[in-house]
Amino acid sequence: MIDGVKKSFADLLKRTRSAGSELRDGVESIRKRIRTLSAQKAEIERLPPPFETACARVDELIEYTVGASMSRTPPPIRFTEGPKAYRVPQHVDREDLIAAYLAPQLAEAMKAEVATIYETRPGISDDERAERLRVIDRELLDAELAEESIIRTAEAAGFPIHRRPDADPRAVLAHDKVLP
Amino acid sequence: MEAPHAIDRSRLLTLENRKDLEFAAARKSNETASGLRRECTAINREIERIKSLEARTLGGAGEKTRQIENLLARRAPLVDQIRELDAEGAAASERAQAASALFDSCNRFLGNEA
Repeated sequence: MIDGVKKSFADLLKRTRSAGSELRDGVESIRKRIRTLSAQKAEIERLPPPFETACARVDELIEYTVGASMSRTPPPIRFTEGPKAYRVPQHVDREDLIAAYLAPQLAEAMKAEVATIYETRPGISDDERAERLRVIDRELLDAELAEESIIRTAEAAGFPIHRRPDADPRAVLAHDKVLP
Repeated sequence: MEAPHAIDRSRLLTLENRKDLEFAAARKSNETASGLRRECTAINREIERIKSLEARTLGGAGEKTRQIENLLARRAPLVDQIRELDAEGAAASERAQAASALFDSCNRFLGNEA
């Protein structure tokens, strides 16, 4: 009789431990999925914009630099003055001269280097990036809701599992009825 | 980002309770460890006092050694307990910080939602 009771307690204990372990394994597996999705999301955010956008950025920089350099470079008319009036311009910065007169070549050289980068790492449009982020955010939220569901089940069964400090509030605060 | 799911604002209370419980656990471990440390300090002082006494005032060198060994034996489990409590306190403190960060984030989320 006593042996039977002992055995059933031992079985119960074994099943309880196994249930706790299964819940923890379940959460860990979902957390792994969340880490993978988060890394994919970060990668999408880091993807370059279209090549044209990068070139436009180069043009923007060159335009800004040229504008500032032009204002510091002697105007061409200075060199056409008669011998009595002409004075050699003073305090002319070599970099300003280069930027003012070789800007198109600089821009082309920079764009050529940018193009090399795009050969191995193609860019995506803003719309495509937004769409891919929307899909991955949806998957992330689903994974977080599943994680929260297991945590609440574990809590109710007396196996508290700590939540991640960076868990999505939409999952942590979700109503029971929307959890999977 | 999709529209937020149905939110149960009362869940915030559960998170706050969890955070408070973890902080309380960390505090309790630290306080208990502090109490044991004071006890260890008192034992150390007693050991030093006995060491400073002439053996004959205690009934001989053997008796002096016996008294010191008794005190060391009393201190040893306390040191083990302090070590365990420190580890528990550190773990509870880490959990409390995590629970606090989650509570703050959810609180902000509800604030933005309102």
